[in-house]
Amino acid sequence: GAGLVSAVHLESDAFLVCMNHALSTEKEEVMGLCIGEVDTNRIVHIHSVIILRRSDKRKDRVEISPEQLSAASTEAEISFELADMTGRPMRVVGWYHSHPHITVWPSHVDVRTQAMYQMMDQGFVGLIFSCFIEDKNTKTGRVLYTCFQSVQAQKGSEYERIEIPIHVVPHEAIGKVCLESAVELPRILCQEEQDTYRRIHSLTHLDPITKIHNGSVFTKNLCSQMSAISGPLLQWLEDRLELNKHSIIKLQKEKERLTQELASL
Amino acid sequence: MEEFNTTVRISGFALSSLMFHHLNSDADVEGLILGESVGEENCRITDSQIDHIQFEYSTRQQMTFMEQVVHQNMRKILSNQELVFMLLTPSQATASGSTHRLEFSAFIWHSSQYINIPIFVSNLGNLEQQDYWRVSGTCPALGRSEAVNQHRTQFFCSGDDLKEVRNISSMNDALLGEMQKVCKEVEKSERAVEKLQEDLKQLKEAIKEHYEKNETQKHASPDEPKENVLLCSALRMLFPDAPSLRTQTLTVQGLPVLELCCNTDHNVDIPTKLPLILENQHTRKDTAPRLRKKCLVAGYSQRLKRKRKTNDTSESASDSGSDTEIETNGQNRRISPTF
Repeated sequence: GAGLVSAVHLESDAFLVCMNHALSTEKEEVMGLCIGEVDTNRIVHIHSVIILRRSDKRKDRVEISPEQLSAASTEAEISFELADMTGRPMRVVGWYHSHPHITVWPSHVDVRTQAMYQMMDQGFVGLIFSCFIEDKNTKTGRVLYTCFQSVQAQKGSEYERIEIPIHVVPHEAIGKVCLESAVELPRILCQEEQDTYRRIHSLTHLDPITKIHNGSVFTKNLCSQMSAISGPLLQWLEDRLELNKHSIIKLQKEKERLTQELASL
Repeated sequence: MEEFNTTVRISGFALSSLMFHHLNSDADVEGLILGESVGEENCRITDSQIDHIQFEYSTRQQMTFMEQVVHQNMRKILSNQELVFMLLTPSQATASGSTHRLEFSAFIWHSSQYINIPIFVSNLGNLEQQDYWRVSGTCPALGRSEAVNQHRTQFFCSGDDLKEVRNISSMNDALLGEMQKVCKEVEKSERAVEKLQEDLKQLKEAIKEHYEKNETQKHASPDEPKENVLLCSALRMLFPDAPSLRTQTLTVQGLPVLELCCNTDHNVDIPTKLPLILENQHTRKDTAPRLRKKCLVAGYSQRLKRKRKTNDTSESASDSGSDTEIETNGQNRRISPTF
């Protein structure tokens, strides 16, 4: 229909951040915003993503209200300096969330949520990453991702999803916003834990034993975050840095060679 | 079948990184991933070396014959009997291209066959998050206890904060700070790599432009060979019955291509341009015995051997191409053709 998106081009470094986020936990759905631009052919280009922090965490669903989304978008657009390398301004063009252990298709709630977001912005798209799926027989793990929007067949009828073609566009170097978003995750988790702990700790009727217990719970939870998130992320960053250093040396040699060749012509 | 307990553990970041590398490449990608074997039955993968990994644009989630051979060789070279082979394959889940699938599995050589072992993606969710106690037990005596209050100071700092909480928070903050620092370095390096790649692209284009400019400045196309018109005319004059001599194109074996032999009369003024030929023409009319001279064209020697066998000494130069022999006047060796 008119106003709907024709396709989504997701840069591979943005895909990397989405995947990192989706694979960070199998216990609950995670969510974030997609940053990019829409061209004249109604193709949505997603250049980076921003991890969203939820103040109300529910294990079974993840969506936030359109007002919250709008507020988060504005905040993101301001604070993250979303202009890309060419200086073109970027904006929030969609949302993504994860489906751990469940099918990649959007639920009725997801479709309705997407429809509401589309009321603010017709070109808004939804991405879903399904992970932690395993075929027990072949022991093959699987990850799926899909892109959709919502349509209403007639006024007043139920919203339905429509499929939007999505292509992951190669982008060998990792963009600045993507890197910053990637390292936001452990910070967000830590803040969420600290908030929870402080709320509990401020309860006045708790005896010292309870407080000591809660202190160890906090320690244990933070250790889990360091072990499952911060540690592997730091490892990946160090390996990436090493890889880039090698590439720089190789490319530098090649550049000298070509410069000499050009000079001799 | 016996229970085989080996599993592969990989962090979500390492798995995402593998997918990222795969999506950035247009073809099958191979690589090595590092990790460690923990205990005898678990194999953990971090993002760096050991195991053999392959991304494939195929739909089968099975090892191909080539992959099996490579894997066996690697097991020998790395002296690692527990080497794991990991395979990732992408596919499209819908015709519209809206949904895509990426499957991954691991194989290990055990009991003379490749068996699938499960891959466990370690994440925060499978580390049990303990719940906080929101209410204390219903025994005020515990809160009033002398024993508890005496030992309390070991756990609490000034005020109501727990030492443990402060310590772990400091460590975590420091870790996040370290990560931030490495992240900035990675960002700088990514931009440096991008800049160098852009520089290389420009240099290559400049070089290409330079060569292209030179090419267009040449008058003749390098593909067309220039004909030696004088030689052609001389050969035509001296050996009118041997058109294969007026060849400009040889096969790989060194034999003339008859279809490409020159039959044009270049209208060269022989008396002016090639006076010595006329001399020779004149002497050829002598009754000197005709000798057969071996033609020393590369590749001709085989044909000549066959000729000798058939004992056909009276055959004159023919147009068949490969069996041509050259008649020369024995007295004028200096103008007999040698290639």
